Amino acid sequence: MTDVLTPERPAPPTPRESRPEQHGSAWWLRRSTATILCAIAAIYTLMPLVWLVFGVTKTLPELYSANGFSPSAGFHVFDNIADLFRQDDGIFARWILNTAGYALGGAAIATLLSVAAGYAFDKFQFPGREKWYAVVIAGVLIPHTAIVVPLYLMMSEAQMTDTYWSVLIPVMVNPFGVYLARAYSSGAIPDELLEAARLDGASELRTFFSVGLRLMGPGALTIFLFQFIAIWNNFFLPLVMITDNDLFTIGQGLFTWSSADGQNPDYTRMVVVGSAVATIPLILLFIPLQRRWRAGLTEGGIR
Amino acid sequence: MLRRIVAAAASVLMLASCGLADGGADGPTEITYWSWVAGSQEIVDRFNATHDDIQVNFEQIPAGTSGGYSKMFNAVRAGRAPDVATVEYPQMPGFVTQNVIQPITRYGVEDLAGEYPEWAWRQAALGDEVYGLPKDVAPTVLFYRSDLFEEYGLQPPTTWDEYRATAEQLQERNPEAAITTFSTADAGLVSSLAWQAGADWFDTSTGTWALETDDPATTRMTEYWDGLIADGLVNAEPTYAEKHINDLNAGTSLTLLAAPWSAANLSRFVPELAGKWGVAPLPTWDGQPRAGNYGGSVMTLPVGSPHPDEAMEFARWVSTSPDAVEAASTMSTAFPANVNLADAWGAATEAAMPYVQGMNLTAVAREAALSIDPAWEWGPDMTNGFQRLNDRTGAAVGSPGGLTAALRRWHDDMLDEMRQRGYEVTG
Amino acid sequence: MASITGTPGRTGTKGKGTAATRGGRRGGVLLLLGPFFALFTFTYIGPMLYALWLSFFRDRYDGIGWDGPQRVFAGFHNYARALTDEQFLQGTGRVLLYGVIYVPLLIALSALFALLLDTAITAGRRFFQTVLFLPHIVPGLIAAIVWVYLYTPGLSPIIDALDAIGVQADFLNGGGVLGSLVNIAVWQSLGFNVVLIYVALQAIPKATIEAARIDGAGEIRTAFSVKLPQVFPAVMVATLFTIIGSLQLFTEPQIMSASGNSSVTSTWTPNMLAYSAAFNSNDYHYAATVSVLIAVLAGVLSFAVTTFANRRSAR
Repeated sequence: MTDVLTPERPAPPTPRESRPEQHGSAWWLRRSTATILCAIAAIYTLMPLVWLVFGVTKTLPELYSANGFSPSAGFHVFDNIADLFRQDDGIFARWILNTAGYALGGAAIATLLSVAAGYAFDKFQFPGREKWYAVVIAGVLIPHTAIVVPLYLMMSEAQMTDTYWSVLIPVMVNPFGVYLARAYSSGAIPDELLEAARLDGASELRTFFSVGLRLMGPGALTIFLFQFIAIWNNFFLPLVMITDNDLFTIGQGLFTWSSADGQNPDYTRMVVVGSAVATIPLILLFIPLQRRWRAGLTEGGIR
Repeated sequence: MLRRIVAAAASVLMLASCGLADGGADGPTEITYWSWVAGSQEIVDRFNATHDDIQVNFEQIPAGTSGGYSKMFNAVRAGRAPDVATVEYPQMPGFVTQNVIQPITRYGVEDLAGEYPEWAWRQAALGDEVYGLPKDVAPTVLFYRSDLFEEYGLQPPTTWDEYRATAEQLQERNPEAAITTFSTADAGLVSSLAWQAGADWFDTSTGTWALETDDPATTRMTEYWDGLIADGLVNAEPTYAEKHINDLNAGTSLTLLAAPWSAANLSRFVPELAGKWGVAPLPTWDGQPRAGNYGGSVMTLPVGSPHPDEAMEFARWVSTSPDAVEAASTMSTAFPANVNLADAWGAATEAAMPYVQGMNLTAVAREAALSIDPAWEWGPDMTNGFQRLNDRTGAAVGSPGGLTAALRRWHDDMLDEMRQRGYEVTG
Repeated sequence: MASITGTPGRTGTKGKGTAATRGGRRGGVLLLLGPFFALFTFTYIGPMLYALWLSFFRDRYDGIGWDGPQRVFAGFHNYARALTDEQFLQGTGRVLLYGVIYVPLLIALSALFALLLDTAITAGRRFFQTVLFLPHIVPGLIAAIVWVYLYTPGLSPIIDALDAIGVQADFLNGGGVLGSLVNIAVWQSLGFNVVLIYVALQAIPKATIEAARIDGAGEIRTAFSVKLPQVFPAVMVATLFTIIGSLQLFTEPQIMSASGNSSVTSTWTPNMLAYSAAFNSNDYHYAATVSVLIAVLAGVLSFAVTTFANRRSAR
């Protein structure tokens, strides 16, 4: 139990992995087959990203020139990035800020609400608890896209669309987060601790913040990362809700540019550079966080 | 409950931001203009430089059917409509019946009717009201490679029969070459050809919607193109795609069924061919001058336009001022709907865009714009209608019945669609 | 955890407090659950009910309709319309076919690579894990844009390379489209699902695997007869999410459709149809109807998968 709950599962070789063996030729064959299979998958995975990275170094005619998997003859990264942030009065920077705002704000609130709800489902006995829980789980199973158009129709009736809120409010809700949080709570918070806090006379809400939230920290981080990526990747919701260019997300902005490349072929270059600028820093940021995220999945009990 | 609270909070925020945007009472009124039409930014810049009381903020939106119209529906529904926006001719009836744009008759615009070709005005004046001022039009013309025509000893054809004969002669002289690249998945082109042939697809004269696509004029047109495609006399491929560009550069696609705006496209995609194009009237069926319309847009006021008076002043300026035409000429070769501006347009365009010099585009386009049949009407949902037409005609190449059958299927699609949508339909 | 829809197996000891604390607890539950449920009602339950309501009405125009539409009660008209609408039926067929190709392919590949990463024989496992996971961080839209560029003649080095060896590939038209879409989706989701299954594999008690070893089972037999059955629940969760995900198919075909070089239409999937009805045609009642039908389809499929999974794990 404690082994599973350690946030960062240490990765020292486990006994089954490190049995000293005499490696025969069959072993080497299997080893190279397995490794080559993984290498093929890795090359496949990296191919579009490499194309994108090389794309940033290129001028528009070079993008259309023969070899996509080689860098530009010159080096146009800085020109390209400067042009990107100058295009349409520098609106790309605004799109980055918007996307970051939606993702950070939405994920933070979604995490807090999910953790509170999961904790309540786990630690309290109340009438109809499992029925309510089943309703939440049903929410996990409805495709997001089937909700968004009706949500749009409802919000437009209240003239709420085309505002920051129209994107922020829907992403503050994450039923899957409740599911994870309930599992984390049951694993990470001993009931005795809660009883102790209650005996000290702390209110339920205070107990939650002082004991529950603190112990569920690593799980909460997982939910946060989950939701952050989900919002960052969400294209459909802002596409439906937002028409004002100033409220766009990066994805929506790039989509608008890419559908305007018939009028101005240079938008193709802007879309390539913009895609890279929106992607590569995030990848670099997430590589160190990735292990922690995986550890959180373990705790969530998806296994 | 929550919804109401959030709605209230949102509206407070909105009011606050509007208050900030409008500034003091004595500054110029700021209005917002939505369009994707090339040259819009230049038009707005010129307007702002010459007007003190109104300042226009231009917002580039995606091309209508690639998202621009969605955006307009969306904004009107959200109560955040722009002040003024462009709409294409085919979409006008749909935008009126679905309450997206408002009548502007009260601004006395009927006096302007004489400035535009009759057909263009009739497409902006629907029912008993006027709903927009035509901005540009796209009469069909024929672009041809004058250098290659000379080399092969060909003459620009004046009838479609001659056009076919020219295509055959061309293939005798150069088996690699085709007379044109014809995109069947281009609803705008296919309908403009039917229009030119004298068809009358949609009809509202009986007080309910009617649609006919198997009339003799349409059928003659579709069978003609089915024949050219079947006999390999034309390349049935998407236009402005890579293959087409290569064919244009290689001199193996000799003409282009086009409109004035095509000149800007050509200058962008095949700049090397400058000076090698001529423009002739589109061949006709009976030798009498007759064109169809293949693009163009109308200045409209969306429902909920916050500053309709100022928006109207801007729309009127865009649609009638030689200044506006001149400003756009560096970016676009769209032909002004106001035919009285044709000469100003020609001078400005030839000065700004050397590519069009020597084509005789102005005279041919003006003639063509005035020869378009005013009886043609559009249906109540042409965004969807064009989409379905593209689907049907795009799949028509090589399939039994070709374009002729595709249009019949499209006819059935549209009738069903209109009934399902709740329009009154007869036949 | 046997299945995501089941009641969690482990639950803490529940409040056995005195009557005095019980009132405080009720308040606590309300404060903790209240905000979530308020928003959940607003963003999930509300829209579904509203869509259901809208789906029973339609627009009606007088004559040509210059005066705009009136809303009238329509009964099941919209449902009858959808179920006879070629665009809806074809779109649903496409999505189901897409799912039939995509779901097994993704799950099989995910299981394969998770197993490879779990066995000691693969070199550089940590590196491969990180690399395979990268696409999950790339926004779906950007993935779609980049892949569509890689499918576009002129821009694509892949098409040039295939051309050089005499293969004419068209990724954007005709029968190739479905494969192209599956490819983008596999690229996006492979790493995530590998990690999901890999995490489950890591949690298998070492003794279980040792026991198989002692019985003389090789790597491959251990993988199939010991490890896979142990991670069956994780595989089912991955399958369920993948099925729901495939019903969402929108971004990739939308980008293809907008690129203008593709035979993908703007109503190619039911989601695109709902979007197009709402935003290209201003036809809200029909958009709502299609959304309801997508949710119903998702419900039926989820029910089928969970029933299957529960029956399997009950054995």
